[in-house]
Amino acid sequence: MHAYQDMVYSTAARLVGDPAQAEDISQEVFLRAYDRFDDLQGSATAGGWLKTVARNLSLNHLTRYRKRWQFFSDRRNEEGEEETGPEFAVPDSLLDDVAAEERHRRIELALDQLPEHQRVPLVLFHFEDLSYQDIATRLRVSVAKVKIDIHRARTALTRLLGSEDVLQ
Amino acid sequence: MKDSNDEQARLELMVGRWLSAQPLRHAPPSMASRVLAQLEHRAALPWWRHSFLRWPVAARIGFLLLAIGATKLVLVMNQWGITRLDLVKASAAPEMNWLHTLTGALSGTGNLLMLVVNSFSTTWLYGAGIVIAAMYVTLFGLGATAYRTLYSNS
Repeated sequence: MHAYQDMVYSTAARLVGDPAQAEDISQEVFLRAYDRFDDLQGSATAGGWLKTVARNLSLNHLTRYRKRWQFFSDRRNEEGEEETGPEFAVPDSLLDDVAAEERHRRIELALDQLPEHQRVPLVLFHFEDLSYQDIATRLRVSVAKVKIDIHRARTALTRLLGSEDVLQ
Repeated sequence: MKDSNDEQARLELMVGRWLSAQPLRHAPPSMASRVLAQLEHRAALPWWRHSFLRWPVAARIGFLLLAIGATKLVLVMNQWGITRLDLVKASAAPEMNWLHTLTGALSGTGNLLMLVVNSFSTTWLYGAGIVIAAMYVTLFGLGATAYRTLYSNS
């Protein structure tokens, strides 16, 4: 468990964007792994299995939550009325002069500040290595929407990282 | 257009480079102990509190046999009840006078209500339905607006 707990927790935390919920999800992942201990013990695919279960449970959690509150909060964003803000010219040197540890901290903070509909496809694309098509299928949206959301997420992320006040 | 695509590609490359270099987040130190505590809690539960698939084989077979037996019993009782109902009714009639009185009173009340409802014109009934629906939509809209204004934006 110790070998995989950071990986499982990272997957859940980056997707749901909430440490407490990520911990609950991680716990559920390891309880399920315990039920399949005989299959997973010594298996080379144990890490992949844990990561997949963590991802699926996180997405299921988000789906349940989204369905419950979509009418009240997310509908505006689902319809594509997006607050993109002014165009932000990203300098190539952004974060170059920041120490690695501080850069990692800022990026995680910025990720947590992205709205769910941007953060989730971005994390699935860059951290989970899913294709646009796979993400669209998993999130039950069009490929075009996935591409737009990921692009907006990248823009928002760089804007947040360029604005140090937000990340203090 | 080409500039826009170039900019998007540059952004994808830059963000991809940052994110691929991100180390894993550290799980809270309490997580392992939480999982172990939950496992201990589960292990302490009696077998019938676990999911059916984790029951002992004998218990599962016994439960299935019991369920099949109970279903059969219900079907037999149902059949018996249908054939014997008239006999029971006839034999119990003197003792069941109060039941007849009660059903008669209920039936009379129902008839009276139907008479009152039927005395309204269809227009009034439709109007009342529309007013109730409008009130429901208004309240739902007010709730959604209040949530967006007071909670979602906070």
